[in-house]
Amino acid sequence: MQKQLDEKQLQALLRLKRHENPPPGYFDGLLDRVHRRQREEMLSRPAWQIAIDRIRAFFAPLQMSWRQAGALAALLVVGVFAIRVAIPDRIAVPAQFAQVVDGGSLQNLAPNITLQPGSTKPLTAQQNRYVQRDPDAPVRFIIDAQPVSYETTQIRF
Amino acid sequence: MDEQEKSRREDEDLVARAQTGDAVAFDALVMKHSPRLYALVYHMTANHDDTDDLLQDVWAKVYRSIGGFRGQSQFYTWLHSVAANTTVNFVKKRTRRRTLNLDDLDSGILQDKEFIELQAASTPVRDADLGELQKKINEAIQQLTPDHRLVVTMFDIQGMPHADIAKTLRISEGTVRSRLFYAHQQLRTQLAEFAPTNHSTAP
Repeated sequence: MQKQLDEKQLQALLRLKRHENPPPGYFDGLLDRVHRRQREEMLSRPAWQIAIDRIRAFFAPLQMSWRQAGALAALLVVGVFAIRVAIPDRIAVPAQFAQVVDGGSLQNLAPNITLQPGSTKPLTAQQNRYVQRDPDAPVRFIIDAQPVSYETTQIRF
Repeated sequence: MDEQEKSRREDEDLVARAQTGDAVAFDALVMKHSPRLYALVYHMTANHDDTDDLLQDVWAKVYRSIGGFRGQSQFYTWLHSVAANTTVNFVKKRTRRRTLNLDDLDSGILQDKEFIELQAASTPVRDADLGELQKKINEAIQQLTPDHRLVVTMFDIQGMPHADIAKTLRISEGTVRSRLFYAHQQLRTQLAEFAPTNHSTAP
């Protein structure tokens, strides 16, 4: 009857496999191969998968559970929907305003009001000083409170 | 602080940095863990080229999912779990190609105390050519089911404790011991030709 290896001998035999090693320098080139693989994956993945990964990475530091993340996502959707409902695409214009816009007269808006041209009081001499411009003074332009630069630039605020 | 604890803390630091997008930290993890990971995959496949492909697969998976790693287990355990699952799935799908493409044995085997003892005890081992011995051992291991091969690789070759194997594979320690028992039974039959002969085992 053929003898069999005992437990110790079998383990000693199996442990000889520890001496099987990859070719010298194998691990030196491994990092380059891993980097190439990462780039290939990035190029071949669809944009939506990358977007999902980005979102996941953004929320990762918050340590949220799936339930919390789902609740937050639902809240965002409801919020966006509520804003959409609250601000309609077109502001409804009442019929009489629409007539003015379409070329009707201002009188249509308020037929009982009589317009009296020249009913405003003339300015007093004191008041007139503010509106009268000195013809020799340089021309002044009043510009809205908005940053303005005369330099040509592509940036718009 | 012992080496294991130092290594664990180093991993925690590197993982935390990699999670914030530090590519250098991720590269450090690759360089630190690849030799041991290579051994795990290689002993499962017995094929150098397959091992190289699988190792890159594993690191690609780890790169994609490291952001979700919460540190509930050690990084080392998690990494080995990814490698083990990837390799077992590959081996299960690989039904036809069973060509051995083995790495060379290093010269350290000739100074290995266990090997010297084995040669002294067993005439067949002493008489066998090293390459032939390596091929026979690998063929015997390849006859095991992937699950059995995995526990043999982790326990007998890599020297992982039962508890670590159980954690990595998410199975009970009892299952690890049971798989090892059946795997050893099968291996004993496969490698019976290397059993010590009566006259060589005399005290």
